[in-house]
Amino acid sequence: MPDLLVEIGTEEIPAGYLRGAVEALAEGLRRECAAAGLGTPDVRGDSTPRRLALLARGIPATQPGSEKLVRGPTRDAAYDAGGNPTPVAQKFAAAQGVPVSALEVRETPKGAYVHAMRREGGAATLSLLPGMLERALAAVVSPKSMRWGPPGVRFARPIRSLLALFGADVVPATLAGVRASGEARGHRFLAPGPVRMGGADWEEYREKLRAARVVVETAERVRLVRGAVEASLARDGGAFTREALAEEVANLLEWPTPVEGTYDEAYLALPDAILEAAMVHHQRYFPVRGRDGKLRARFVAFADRGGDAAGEVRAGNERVLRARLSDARFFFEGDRKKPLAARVEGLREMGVQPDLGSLRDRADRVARLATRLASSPRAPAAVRALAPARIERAAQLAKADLLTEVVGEFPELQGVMGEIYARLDGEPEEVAVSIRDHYQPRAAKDPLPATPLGLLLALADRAMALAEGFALGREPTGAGDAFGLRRAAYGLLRLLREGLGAGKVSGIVHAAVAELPAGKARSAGEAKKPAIAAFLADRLSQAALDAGHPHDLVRAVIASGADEPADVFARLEALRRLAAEPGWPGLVEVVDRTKRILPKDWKPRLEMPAGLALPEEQVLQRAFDGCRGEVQRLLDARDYVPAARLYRDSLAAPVHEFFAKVFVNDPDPAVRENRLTLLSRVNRLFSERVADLALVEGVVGGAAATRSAGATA
Amino acid sequence: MLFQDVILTLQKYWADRGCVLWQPYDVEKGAGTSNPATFLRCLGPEPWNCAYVEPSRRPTDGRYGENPNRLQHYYQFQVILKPSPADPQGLYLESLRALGIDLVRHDVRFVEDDWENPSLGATGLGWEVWLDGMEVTQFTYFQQMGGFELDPVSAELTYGLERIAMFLQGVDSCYDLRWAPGVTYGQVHHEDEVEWSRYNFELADVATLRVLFDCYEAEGRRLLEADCPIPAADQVLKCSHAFNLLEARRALGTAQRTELMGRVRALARATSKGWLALRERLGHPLLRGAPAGAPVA
Repeated sequence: MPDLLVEIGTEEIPAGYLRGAVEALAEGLRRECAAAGLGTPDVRGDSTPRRLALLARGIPATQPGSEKLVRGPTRDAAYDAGGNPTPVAQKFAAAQGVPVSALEVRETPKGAYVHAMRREGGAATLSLLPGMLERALAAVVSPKSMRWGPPGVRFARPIRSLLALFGADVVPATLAGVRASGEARGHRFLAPGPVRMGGADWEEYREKLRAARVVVETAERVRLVRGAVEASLARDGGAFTREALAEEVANLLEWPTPVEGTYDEAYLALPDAILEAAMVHHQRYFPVRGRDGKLRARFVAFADRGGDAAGEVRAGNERVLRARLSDARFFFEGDRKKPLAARVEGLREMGVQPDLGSLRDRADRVARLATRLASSPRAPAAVRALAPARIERAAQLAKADLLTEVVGEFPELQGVMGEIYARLDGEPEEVAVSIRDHYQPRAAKDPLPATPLGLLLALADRAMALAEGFALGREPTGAGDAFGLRRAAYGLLRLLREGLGAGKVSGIVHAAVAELPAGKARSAGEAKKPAIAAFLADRLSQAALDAGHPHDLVRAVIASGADEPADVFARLEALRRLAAEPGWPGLVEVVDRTKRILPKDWKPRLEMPAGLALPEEQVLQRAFDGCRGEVQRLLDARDYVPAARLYRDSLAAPVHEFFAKVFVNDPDPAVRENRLTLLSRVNRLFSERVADLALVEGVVGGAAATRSAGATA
Repeated sequence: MLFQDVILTLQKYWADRGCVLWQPYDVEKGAGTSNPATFLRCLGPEPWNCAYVEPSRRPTDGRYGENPNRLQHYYQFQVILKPSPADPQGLYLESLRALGIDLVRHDVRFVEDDWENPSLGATGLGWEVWLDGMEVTQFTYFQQMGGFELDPVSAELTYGLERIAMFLQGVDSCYDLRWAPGVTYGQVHHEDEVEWSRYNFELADVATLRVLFDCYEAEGRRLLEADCPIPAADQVLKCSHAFNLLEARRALGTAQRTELMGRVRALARATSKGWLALRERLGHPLLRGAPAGAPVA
């Protein structure tokens, strides 16, 4: 079985697209092979900025053939009285690709019909590959794609060459107007000629490309980049930390060559964040830190070249960095002429939105919300202890750095520069730190703010973003979340659970909406409160599922009305432990049976039923009265495991007896009402304070058994 | 290579490849893209290959002549290849060789850059071209102009002339560039940068600029109603420049910035529509093999 080697030569594809493109292409080829009955070959893919390369191992040279019996016209229609085939028979035979003489008559339950044995498949794979490749390519979706000429074709960047070999044969394919050949392409500048391939062989391809100054395997380029940076860092005892940059740089080059450069030590007086932004984000250079963790005035850049004997590439890169740093110093010194606090008024001009006002107005709202949240009895002591003036100051300064020149030039430094300027201005340290910290967490696994003030400000900022977003009708839809509300919700829940360890979603939403400007925004926000709560409950469920909790327990806890993220996780942890105990089915049964017996439209009564006559009724009532106080006390202390055990051990047997002996739906409405009330109180003590275990699935003796028992009682 | 020799070399190179040697357009603009030789000509089906120097103004980039790399007035060399030929990257790299740049010794890279000009309603995909780490050219396949999808697609090459000359002459400050024998770029332009920076940041009258913006827009609308899209295109440029000056004066809040930009874009779109209709009325003369459409080879 031959191998298939494909190289799609392109103009420079963005580094961030390469991995996805080559994976999609490989997947497309596998899918096409399967659809053509060619099995699922082992496909490997690699890429450089100028090529996507695939090798598929072991594709059959011909499609497996098969025979299929096809029924045609009736015998009478197919043959005349003399037994000669009619035009109907001839037409049928031609359509099936068989001679008329090969037709045969077979008896069927409906009568005698002409049949043909049709052969299917069996095509040469070489003739199928052009269509397969075209479809596989069309299925590659890039974050952004473009047109450049060929009608109907979109791709990340123009396609300019095509190598496609099946064994030793060139695949007669044309992709995006480019005809396939048996030639790969070498390095654009170092080996610009075609590279003739003997056949579809990955080793040969890789080595011939290496000779043509292209390292085609991404992993090898990453190793080369990383190795060169490590060697350079080692001279000052620094450690390698920039994995993501190494991968990006490797995907910008075909023949990575390190170029080490230096800059004037005077620039080390600038904040590290500025130096690193200039080097890493703008130029993709690796900064060098020494053993002491301090920046050195040198960097490692990479060129797509064999060497730089004359030092020209180094000199050019140094000149560029010098220009950037001199600009940054100009901005930094300009920013320092005015304290950060003096910029707050300027926020009146920024981010102005209908019904919400400017960022200046928003700073006031966030300040009020944060102050209010800090005074909540649920807030941790460290947050309650924050001075209102500190909170106010931090909220006011939080976005002021958007008006600085350095942030204008390096937008990725928003927050970071705010902290630096606030510290230089002599603002309290916790205020300075909270300006940077309040953007945390930006993404999953990001650390949370380190200080109580940072946590509080981050929480208020996100709660306000959600209230504003929903009030303006910017709810996330489907895959789209242009205003980042999913991220805000995710951050808010993490802040509540891991950061503060307390705080109810409903209370925070309520407080945030109350701070929206009176009028259109606030009334819209009020109307959207249930939608915000539902959105957050949904994100909370998702977070619990992501943490590995089973979906039925997550549903059970959310259904209990829990909306304090820390508490939801505490309950789930407790249930996880309880579910491992032998008494688990008994616990589920108590909650499940007492729930299922209640009619859907039944309204619980608050007072304790009187006039329970049967002994099983009285036993259950006494058991309930006996454990209720202690269970509640344990629940109030969030000691869920002991509370559940006590509940189960006190009530499992009486509930079981009750259902065995008592007919709940007594003809006398007063008796029936009493019994339902008792059962409902038993149920609610657990299902409204811990979890609605009637939603638990697959517990032995649980849901199914309960239903039949209830029916016979 | 003198600054003026860079221009002469590029002009010769692209003229030899069939480009019309267009000339700078006499209305202030932020980039060569706004020149009608690009803005209008890349719309519609007619072929168009041209090259020209464009003096460009970015008021907010002024540094009073104190920064060696930033200018509020600088020169672009603009090339439009429509339709985009089979190997525009190759043609571009050959032009660097024509400037005497050894592409084996130096590091030339095409670094992702998705370009857009929101006030013209224009977008494209392409790269910044880095030469030993310095951005020297913007290379774009236009996808939209005036909000209209482009078919055929044009390739736009925008050389930063000062940067290329700084590279070739090995100087760190654009003011030290040798423009002509015995004359530096600084001698030609330094005082301009000082005074224009004062004008852009301090002296330009905000109230007047706001009035001018409104007037240019109204004039553009009137011209379009009179079926005169070519003069209307000038009003788009004038609006854009008034907008850029208001920005330099920090006179625009976010909402107003968005609003004014939307108004320029709407005028650019209406102008584009008028131009498309005009060329259609004329029967797309350049499709009939007029000399300007000579294929780039």
